[in-house]
Amino acid sequence: MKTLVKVVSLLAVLCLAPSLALAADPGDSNSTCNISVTVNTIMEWAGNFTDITLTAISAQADTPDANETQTIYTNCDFEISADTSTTAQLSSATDTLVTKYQLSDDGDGLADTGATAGAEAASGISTWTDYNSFLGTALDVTHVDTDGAVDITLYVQASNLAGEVADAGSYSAVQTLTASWTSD
Amino acid sequence: MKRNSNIVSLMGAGFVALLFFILSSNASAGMAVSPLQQWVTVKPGKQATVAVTVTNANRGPETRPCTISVEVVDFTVSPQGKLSFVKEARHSRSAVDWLDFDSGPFVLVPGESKTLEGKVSAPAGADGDYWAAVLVKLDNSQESESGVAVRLQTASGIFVHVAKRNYIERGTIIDANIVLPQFDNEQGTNEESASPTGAKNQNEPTFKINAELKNDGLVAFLANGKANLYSESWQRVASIPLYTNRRRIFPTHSRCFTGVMSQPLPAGKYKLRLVFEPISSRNGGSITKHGRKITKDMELIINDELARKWAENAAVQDNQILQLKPQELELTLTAGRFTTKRFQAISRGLSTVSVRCRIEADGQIKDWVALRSADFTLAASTRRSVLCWVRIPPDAHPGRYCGTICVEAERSGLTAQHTANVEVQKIPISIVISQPDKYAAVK
Repeated sequence: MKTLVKVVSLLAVLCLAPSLALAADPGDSNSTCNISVTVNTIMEWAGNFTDITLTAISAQADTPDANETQTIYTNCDFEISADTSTTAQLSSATDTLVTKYQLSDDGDGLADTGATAGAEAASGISTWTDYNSFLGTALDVTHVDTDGAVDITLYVQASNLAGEVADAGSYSAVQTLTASWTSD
Repeated sequence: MKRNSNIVSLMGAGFVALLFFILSSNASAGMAVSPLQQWVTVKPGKQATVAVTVTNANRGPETRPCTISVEVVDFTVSPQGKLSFVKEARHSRSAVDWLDFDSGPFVLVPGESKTLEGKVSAPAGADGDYWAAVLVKLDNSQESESGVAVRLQTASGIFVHVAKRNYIERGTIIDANIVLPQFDNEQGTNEESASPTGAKNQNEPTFKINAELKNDGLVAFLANGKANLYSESWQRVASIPLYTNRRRIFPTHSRCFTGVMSQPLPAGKYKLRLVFEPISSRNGGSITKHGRKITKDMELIINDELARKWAENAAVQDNQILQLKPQELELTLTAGRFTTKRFQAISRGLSTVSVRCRIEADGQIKDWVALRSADFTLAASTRRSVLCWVRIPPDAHPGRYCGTICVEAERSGLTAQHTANVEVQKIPISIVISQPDKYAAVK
């Protein structure tokens, strides 16, 4: 009885929709979907710098220095400038120290993202520079495809004024580094 | 027994404290800002929106939440191209009062991104270009009693164009001077001259032209400059491209340009014409139109003694003005793909070099590849990246498509025929469109 029902059903399908019953495997069908996205310029400080702590000055001629490094991730050229106000000078409640800075990066702007030799020379980052003229010319960092990271190292040096000894006590300063766009 | 238990507890607490200290000292809380500059067009009396996205990228378990604050500030650009961010000294074309941003502070957990939307409300009387910057600051809660605390911030420039009418780029040359090579009697070289990059010019005698161009109009423009040298009878004998740090000059701002030529000039009387060509560009890259030229004429005399010393001390010019890296661009892409590729133009001489790049191709590839900032001037021994945008249409057929990027470099100096000192190089560009693998996603 059951077999009879199945045979009748099959015959019915064949009569009513033969093309459906006898159709070949439809296979894959391609469809196209256009997807587009714009990648904007991105500049990322990977984290805050650790505070830069210098060893104590124990003699008039002592010039302690210290440094810290932080990574910048980017997909574009940018420039780094620094605060040249007295905020960046090591000072206590009563006195100030001669405060000098340097900067370095781990790229060359050709094979790796970084500052080119010309940009480094122009900004004078590799020589100790007084806080009030540090990065007087901002450091241009050139992005290189396939390298999205550059390590920036900030160096600080403290010393007494020539022929003087600063007041005893703790000295502190705040340096602000600003990354900004470069023009055409 | 109880005493031993206390010791174990104390040691455990100490270990946890030590672990926390180690972890916290290595922990990071970063800040990504995008974009670094943007343009917005608004009608007088109307509003538009701008957005800056700030992200605390999750870079592993050591990533901590970060605190971000935002400040809208003015900025100025010095004639030397230096950006200065100022809070109080607002200028007549400041857009600070028009920008309404939520200043925070915001705390972003690792992996969190926040789009800061700002409203730009242009007053009815506004006309032309205005600007401001958004300073996104990464707060550093650490306060050191001694040493140097370092604060980090990223500036995102916002340029507002108030489209009231059609604008004409206007500028004037407000200052210009010629620096002839100076020779030390002992060594026969100039001592204190420096290249525009600040680098010493390796004791090579050079002829230098400095010019300051001021924007007298209401809209910003990019400027290309050149100094043409003519004989007394106005026959052109040399041209010197002029270089600057930031080519975009905003209304009321001025910019210093420098041109350097190391090739010696023969003795004689010369006329010098400074020519600047303002280029309208409001979207950060695409050149739309060239404005009317801005010129200034000067005169100079090279005496016999100077010409002799200059010729004696002249450096031997390298045959190749410009080096290109890489010398070939190859891309394998699928239909519908959009990507970018760069090449670098490196100036090898002691003089300023003007560079123009353009796509040379027949057929489809010409519509697929576009160059950004393809027209610029390089100072001596400097380099610049040129960005190629490649957009393959979705209906592109598989195959290899070829073309070339033509790079014309014009060096400062003279030619025997008194024609432009131009060197042409070509970078082959090859795009292979591969057959899309329809099962790639399943695999």
